[in-house]
Amino acid sequence: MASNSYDVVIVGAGACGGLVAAELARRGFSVCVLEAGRRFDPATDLSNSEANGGKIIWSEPRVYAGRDAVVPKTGVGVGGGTLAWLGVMPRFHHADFRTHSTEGVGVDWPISYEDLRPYYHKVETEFGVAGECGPFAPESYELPMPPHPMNWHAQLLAKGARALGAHPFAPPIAINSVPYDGRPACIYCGWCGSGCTTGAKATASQTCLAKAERAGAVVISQAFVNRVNYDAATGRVTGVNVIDVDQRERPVSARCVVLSAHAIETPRLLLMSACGAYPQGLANSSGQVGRNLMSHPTWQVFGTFDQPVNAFKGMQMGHVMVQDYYAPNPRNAYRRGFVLISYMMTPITFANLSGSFYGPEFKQFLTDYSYTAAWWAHAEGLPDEDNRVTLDPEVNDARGLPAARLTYSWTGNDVALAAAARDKACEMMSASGARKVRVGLNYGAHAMGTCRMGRDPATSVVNDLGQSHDVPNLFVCDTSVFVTSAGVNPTLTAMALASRTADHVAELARTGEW
Amino acid sequence: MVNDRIALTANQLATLATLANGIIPADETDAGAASVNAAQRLAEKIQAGVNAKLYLAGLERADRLANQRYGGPPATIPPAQVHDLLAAVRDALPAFFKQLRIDVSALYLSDPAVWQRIGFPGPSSQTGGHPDFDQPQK
Repeated sequence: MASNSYDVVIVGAGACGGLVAAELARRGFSVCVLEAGRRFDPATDLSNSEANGGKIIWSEPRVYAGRDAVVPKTGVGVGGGTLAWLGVMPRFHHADFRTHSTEGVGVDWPISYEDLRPYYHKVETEFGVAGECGPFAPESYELPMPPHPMNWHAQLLAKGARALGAHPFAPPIAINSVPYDGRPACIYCGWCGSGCTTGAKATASQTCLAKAERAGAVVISQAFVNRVNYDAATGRVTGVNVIDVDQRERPVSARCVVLSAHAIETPRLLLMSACGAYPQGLANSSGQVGRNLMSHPTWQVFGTFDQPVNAFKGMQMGHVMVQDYYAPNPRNAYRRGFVLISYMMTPITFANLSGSFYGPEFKQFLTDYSYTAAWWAHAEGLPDEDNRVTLDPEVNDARGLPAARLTYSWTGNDVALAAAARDKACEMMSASGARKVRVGLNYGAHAMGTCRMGRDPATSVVNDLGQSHDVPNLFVCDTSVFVTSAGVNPTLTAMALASRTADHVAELARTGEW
Repeated sequence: MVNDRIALTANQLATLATLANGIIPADETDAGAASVNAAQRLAEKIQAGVNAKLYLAGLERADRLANQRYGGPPATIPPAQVHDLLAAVRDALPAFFKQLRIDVSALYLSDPAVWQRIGFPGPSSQTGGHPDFDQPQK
């Protein structure tokens, strides 16, 4: 470790942590990024193999409880979730920030689409996004790269969507359609989820973290942060404690701490950092740390065709999207909306997302792999304060620290909305000409909430700029701060929020507030 | 979760093989899970402690269910009853069934011979990906 004291320590080297590191290092701050996982060389460590995909998924113990025991996938390693992600980057819509005002569900955000507009554009440009904004976008906007051609799989899906009067389009996706920012265009190898070997898929490690390191930031891998240190005399955090690869614990001091460990590990860290002043967990005077955990209720819908589809040729997700059913509609029997996204997987994931059938039927399904197309029906999950991350009283990780316990039950609206999304995907699959349509797994995608933003310190953890209400030099920059989940993929919005927070951190430094 | 090393009994091994081979059965194309020695390879993982507690509970429950319903251990009952037994196991111990299905599928679908049968070409980034990705497929 070159130094033990920095202006800013960032916990987590994913999309948001990497972005904040780049933005602050570029401005001349000394920045240290601490990442629990390894640093990978994608070309050698993440060659096309589903086993390699397992290296970049969080595999430490977690406990899943509640009626529905939702298990959102999370990443690990320098690059965080972007190592394994599939890159879909749509913007939230105006109404996504006002779910309570518009439909009487959830809670309104303390910010609007307009607050994020410049940050959306900045992230899309700097990270590299290809695609169309689509006919239902919150406004017409240009992306820095042209859309990817639809693969044959997407063309079949789009045919069915159009037959039902929908408007399929090639959505924003952070995979290069042309060479961009020193990275090559995608070769459509079909292995995005195992880690991109070419660099065409935008990962934090190959974009913002690389830029941060060139600007002087220090990125330390296999450095697990087990505590944020708080000084009761000043009311401020003083840095963090790190357990390194040799299991040695040491402090790293900083004038400012940014948590970007994602919506499960960020609240876990705050809860593990309980102290005399904050016995329920650091920055948790509200009792809201860990609460309102959200996920997206999704269904996998498969269709088997008479002719080969070969859906494995292309990007795994997002060659086509349908947003026709996203806008709130008072005539619906549910609130909020959903999208449909093309999603095809390598064979093991294909099997795992197919459901729980077995025997000859399962074997036939596997045999039909290259003849099968798939929609991912992706809906909004509403916040519920009883859905939460806590510290498990019994299960510890290998370091002896309490594992995160996720307690989750879908709300009635989640179930109804996801069912509508599933049924629409089935209808479209039939309209595409599938001879057999199969509903696969129902699962929770993405983790959000748990340190939500708001104006009232009694009901939220951070303010509208990601700054802790309780501790002024502590910030949260990841999907933890989401107030509602919207019905689209969350990373772009998380990064836009993080970019906004980075501006705020820099401004506070300029005015001498930390 | 890794636990202490565990030795499976012959009966547990036989039950594991019956269940694994029931998840992906033999047919005219191949021997299914047996073609990749799924049960033996799973047994080695269990004996090394991987998901051992879950598996041991599942095997014990499957054995008990088979005895209750069919009057004998899983390895002694005909394929149609194995199929029904798996449904009962899925209902009784969903976490075990899910793990078993995941593990058997992963072993089976990691075999290049199976890839060939299902029309999957395997790794492709080293050979330039799929330039015909947007063309009608044959």
